[in-house]
Amino acid sequence: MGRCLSMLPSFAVLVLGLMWAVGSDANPLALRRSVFRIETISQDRNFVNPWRLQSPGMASGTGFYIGEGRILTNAHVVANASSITVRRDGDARQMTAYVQFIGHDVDLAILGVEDPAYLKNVEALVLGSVPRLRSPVTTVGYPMGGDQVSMTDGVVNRIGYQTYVHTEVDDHLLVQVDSAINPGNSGGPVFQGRNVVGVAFQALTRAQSAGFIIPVPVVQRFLTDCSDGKYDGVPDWGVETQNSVLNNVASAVFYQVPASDRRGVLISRVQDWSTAKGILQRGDVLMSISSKAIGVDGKVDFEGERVNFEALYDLRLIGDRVRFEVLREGEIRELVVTAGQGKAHQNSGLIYPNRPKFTVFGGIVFTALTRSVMELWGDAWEKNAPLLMRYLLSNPFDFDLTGERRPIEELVIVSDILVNNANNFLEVTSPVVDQINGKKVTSVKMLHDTLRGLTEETLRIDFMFSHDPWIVNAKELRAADKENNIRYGVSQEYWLEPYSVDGAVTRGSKR
Amino acid sequence: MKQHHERSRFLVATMVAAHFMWLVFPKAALAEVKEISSYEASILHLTVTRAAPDPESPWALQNTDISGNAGVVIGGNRVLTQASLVSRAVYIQAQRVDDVEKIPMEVVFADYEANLAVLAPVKGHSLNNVKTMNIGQDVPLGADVFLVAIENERQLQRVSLRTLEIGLRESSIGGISLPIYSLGGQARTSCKSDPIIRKGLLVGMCVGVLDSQPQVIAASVINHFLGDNLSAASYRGFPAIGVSFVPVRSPWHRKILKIAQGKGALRVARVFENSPFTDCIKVDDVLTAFDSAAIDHRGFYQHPMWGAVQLRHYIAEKYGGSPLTIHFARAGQLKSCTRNLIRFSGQESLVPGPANGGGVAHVIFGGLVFRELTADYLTVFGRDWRQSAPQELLFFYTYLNLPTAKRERKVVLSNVLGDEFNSGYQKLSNLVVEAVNGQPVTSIASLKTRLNAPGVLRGGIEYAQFDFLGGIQIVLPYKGTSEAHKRIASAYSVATFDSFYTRL
Repeated sequence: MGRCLSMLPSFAVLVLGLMWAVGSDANPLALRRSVFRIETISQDRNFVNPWRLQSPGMASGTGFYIGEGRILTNAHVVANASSITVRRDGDARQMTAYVQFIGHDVDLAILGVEDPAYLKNVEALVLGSVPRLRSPVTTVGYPMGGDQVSMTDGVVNRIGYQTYVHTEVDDHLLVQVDSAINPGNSGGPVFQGRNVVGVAFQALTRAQSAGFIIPVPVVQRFLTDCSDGKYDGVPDWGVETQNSVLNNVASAVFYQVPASDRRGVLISRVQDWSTAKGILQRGDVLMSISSKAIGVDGKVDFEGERVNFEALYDLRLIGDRVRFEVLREGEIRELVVTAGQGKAHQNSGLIYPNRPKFTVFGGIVFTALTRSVMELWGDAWEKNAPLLMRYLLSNPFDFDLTGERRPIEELVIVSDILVNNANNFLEVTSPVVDQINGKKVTSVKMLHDTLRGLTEETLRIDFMFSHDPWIVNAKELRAADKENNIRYGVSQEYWLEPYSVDGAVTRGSKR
Repeated sequence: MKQHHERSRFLVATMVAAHFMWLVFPKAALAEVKEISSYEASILHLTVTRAAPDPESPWALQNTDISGNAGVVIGGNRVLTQASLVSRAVYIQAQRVDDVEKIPMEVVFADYEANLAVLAPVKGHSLNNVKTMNIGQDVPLGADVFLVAIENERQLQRVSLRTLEIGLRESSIGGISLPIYSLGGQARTSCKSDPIIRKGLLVGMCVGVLDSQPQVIAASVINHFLGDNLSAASYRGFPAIGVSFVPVRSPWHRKILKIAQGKGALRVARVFENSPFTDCIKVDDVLTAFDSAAIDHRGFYQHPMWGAVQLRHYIAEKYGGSPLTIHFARAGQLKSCTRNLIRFSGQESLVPGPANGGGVAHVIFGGLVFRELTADYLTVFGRDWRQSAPQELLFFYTYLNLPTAKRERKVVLSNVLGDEFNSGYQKLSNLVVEAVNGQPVTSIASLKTRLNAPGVLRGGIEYAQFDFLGGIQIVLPYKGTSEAHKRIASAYSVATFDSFYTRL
């Protein structure tokens, strides 16, 4: 289905052009019946005591019908939801919904409903294309302040490549509009004529009427990704570039860039885990991607605008072959990189798992270092959290300054100590676990397996950048678990499932 | 008539006040006040004009800063004050609060770890007519003392306080732990070298306020400082052992280390490469005593006056060069080791502490401003620099800031002074230099040496190649730097041409 949708833009552009030409029937009012108010009851995860959930909270958003029993909305509308209901504009009935697919990295989700008949006769909205600058758009949704659908007109201000705040780290194409996008608008369609040209999803809080929408190419890519029944996510590039270097004429000569064709960006680093490792290398000049010339500013032509060349890489699917033109030692080469994914720790964004990975041993709670954990230090965690954790999270690819180059799945921290007689002398001076009995810790699972399989009497836990290891009696710690679990209500001693098992409601029941 | 009435009222008021004081204060306290008054003549107001290098533009000075603080005349034609308040002073004047004469002064010697400095009048001036104050001994907890503050440069204010707590303040420079009194009583908002007096003797110097309570350098530190040879060549200072240690809390760990129940012990966590004990102490050794001072389970020893005090203070009571015997256990075997202590100036560290004098090591190449990473530089990022400075720089400062025997430094590209010569690189800042022309860089001097070596030839042009942590690279030709430097000097008011790199 997603593959079919990817064919829509050319048709949509034609329709859009016709609408502008006639100047009538372009009012999306007629399409409001395809727009849904989404209500959720969600419970955020507890990253200190991960077997617990935080108190439930209610929220609402917007979604719209895209055919075949699917409602498109934002991931953040339904993330961590324990209950989801939808209500169509003009219909009194509420319907229980569930998440079919969710892409936190692109802040999109597809919902289904318990009774497919509920969507019978609902008109599927059609995806258009990337709107032009200064062209008018209409945002439709259920912003706070009332139960009725709301429509706001605006114009397109900017087409760029910026951060999607749902994960706080993923940069993708987005479109800025000057119509207000308020809480509740999220997931709503943004129309140009009868076509959806984007999904409302975030706004600048310190600016009036500065809203952002997810443009159609990102939406289409998401739908295509889901078309095989599984969402794989946007590929991780793992290559860092220096833009603007070739603005410098002398530097361009150094890198042997032809004066008559001065373009491209310099590769400054290729991460060990990147699928480009061994193909691209530091010092290469990337001249083009998928036959599109990369300017010295790192931008390419896209839909009549100039956007960061990485936007094109993002639009590819995992496993796609991406063609680059590379200048190396004065010679232009054509190289192909297979789009791939990084490991869990390399995705340093906010996560929305069913449960955070954790294991409890002798009252010591171990969990993975994630951005979600860091938010325990509040919104200003990037200043207030311990420097070591901030640094490791911000430099997830390797730890240049720590001298570490170990292949790591994720970093493990001590999130809490449930005090008992066997551990009441322990103090957390540095929370990031380095070694267990001399073995480098590479994941929560590895640590869990090592602890459960201990044969030694002594357990030694070393922490990164600490010279104060814990040296304890493993048997006494383990023996404390049973009583400890009762005292502290530890309902589950570990959870090691990958984050891809999302916490959102599936088929009306939480996993 | 009216005047007479007013005068009478004033007299009555004074008499009532005197009578009230007699009732409220015991005789001893009034005697103390009287005695204090007699020493007010030893307290001078210092006006300090300072000019520090601009941390953002190391070739320039910041606007001059004038501050006032107290100093105490201690004999020998000298004045004792707080070192941090006279660092980078270009002009100092001393004045009695009841006198108009201003005496120009100069810094004789300062120890920034102890935060104490001795000043003397410049040649041709003297303090001969000013009464001196003697230094007392440490005061016990609960002792009543007076703080004397100078208000509005012209008025002495006496504040009655009481010692509440003795703590150790770790010097930000050399990691030395020195005793500090915390004084309770009337809340203070600030203090600047305010003398603390007891029984007519100077027993402390207030160096700051924490939770409205004055924080005071102890008399023992003042005596230690003044008892030293106050010259750069022969000053022995407050030493450190270059060994970090942690208490062993785990019963199982204590059992493994064979520490008897009830006995105190500290596990050696690190031995720094310039410690005098590198050849005899190892990580995991268990310290049991320094000289004859036994360690309790918290890592404290019994101070004769203050009771349990952290062991680090025991070391700070000694002078650099003094012997210290460490008793320790290794695999259950008792051992001991005696070495002469050394003074750490703080300049041995990879990211040195405040320089308090001299210029800022830097060089400009084609508009690229390179400088050594220092604690002074980090303050560029504002009052909350510990949170807001770039993480990589903070990481070096916090986790990798060990003393190195070779006094190595990290060199940072702090910013780029934009010019056509360096177009394409002008947004780069705060990058840590790894290599220049393919060779590692460990100081500004070594960066210049690397630049003097042959650069990278490409297309018949010689380039200087800079490689930074994280993979960023800058290549700029040597040719054209002179012209670029002239333009940059003019555009950015870089007055000292020494700042620019010139190839040897």
